[in-house]
Amino acid sequence: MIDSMMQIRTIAAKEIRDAMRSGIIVAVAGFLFLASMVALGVSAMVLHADVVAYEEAKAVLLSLGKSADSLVAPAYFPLRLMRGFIEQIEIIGAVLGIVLGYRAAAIERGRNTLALVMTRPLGQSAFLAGKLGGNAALIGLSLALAFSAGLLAILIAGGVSLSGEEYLKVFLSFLAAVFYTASFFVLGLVLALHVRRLPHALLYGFAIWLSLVLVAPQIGDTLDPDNQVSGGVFRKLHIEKPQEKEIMQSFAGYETIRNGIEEASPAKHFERLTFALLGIKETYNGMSIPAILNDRARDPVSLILIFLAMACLLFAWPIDFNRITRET
Amino acid sequence: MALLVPVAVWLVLTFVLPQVTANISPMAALNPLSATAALPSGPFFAVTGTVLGPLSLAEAYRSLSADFLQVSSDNQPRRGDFSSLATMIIANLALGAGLVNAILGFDASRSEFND
Repeated sequence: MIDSMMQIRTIAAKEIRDAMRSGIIVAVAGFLFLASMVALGVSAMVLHADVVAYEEAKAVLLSLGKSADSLVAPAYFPLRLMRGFIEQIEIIGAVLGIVLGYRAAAIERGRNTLALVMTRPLGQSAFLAGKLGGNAALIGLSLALAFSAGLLAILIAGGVSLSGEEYLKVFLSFLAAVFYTASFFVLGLVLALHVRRLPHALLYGFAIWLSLVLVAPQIGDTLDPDNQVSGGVFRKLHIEKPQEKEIMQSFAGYETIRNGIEEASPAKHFERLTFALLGIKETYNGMSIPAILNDRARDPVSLILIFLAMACLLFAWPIDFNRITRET
Repeated sequence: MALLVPVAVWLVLTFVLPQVTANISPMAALNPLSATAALPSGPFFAVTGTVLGPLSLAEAYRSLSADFLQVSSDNQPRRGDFSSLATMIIANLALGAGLVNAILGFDASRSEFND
């Protein structure tokens, strides 16, 4: 047991060293960091423009004799600035996971060291656990850097302090991002360990990424009756929420299929959970964490189950060394 | 790297630039209805739209196709059809020139394992 733990730690440490040396992790994590910061910067600019417009409108109303007491300032929820940031992690975080998973297997297959490592008194499970542990640490570190910088940007751009509960909401969103990205890491690793031709593994990984992260959520969004008009068809027609629900009951079967397509995507579970936690979806603004988790229980459970299912597949599928050994 | 670099360029063109130039959120960037949304106002988007707008290939394609398919609204300000068309033509010419250059300079002796 102690030997196994030491082996796992050794492989995990080597994995981190190799990944840092190759530069790919720095390039992809750096890209994720920049894209998420750009998203946050744009959100801050939009907020700033809204504040300026509000102040101008307020000044006009006051000059026209309107009482200052009758003007209610709009509510400000700083974590809502993270919408674009979360969406960039949803898209590029999955790429980071696939690339890391592919690299973890490709580095062994390209040098034919996989079979050599297995000639040592080392179990396949310990080898894979080391790979998973080392890369999970890299994923955690990359996302921790992005989330920390994001928080810092919100504090500076928003000019506000956050409550303890808001920090916890951001931390839970970070944990969701780690599980989400780690699932794609395991996908990339499984493909690169079992597909006969290594470059095909990356192509299959990107095809699955396209289907799960971009196509399935897009089908669900595009088929949403409320999304047929920019700004929402019900809002444009001035239809209230109760009436909207009544109308949508006529399309219950259609909605079940549409929602089913969306729920097939881990990206949608990540998005729904984080949007609720961060109050990006308005109905969750001001709600406590237990209430949000109770209402959105399906999403964290789905994210954890997807990761566990992928990990089970990784550990249960024996590696066929004859199939993947490179001919020289 | 040969696959990662084009994917990274595509990610920038499709998900990063439309957000910077037109405040289209990344997950909405693939939605055809985002072409019908009005351009955001304010000095920031005026500058980014002018400087980076012509490079925003995905936005140009979405805008042009929305016009061809007549899903765009006439009463909302959007990028001009001419600038979208010019972006598409210039990008295709530049990529075509890059392709010809790559084929002419192709070194068949380079192995995939030496990269």
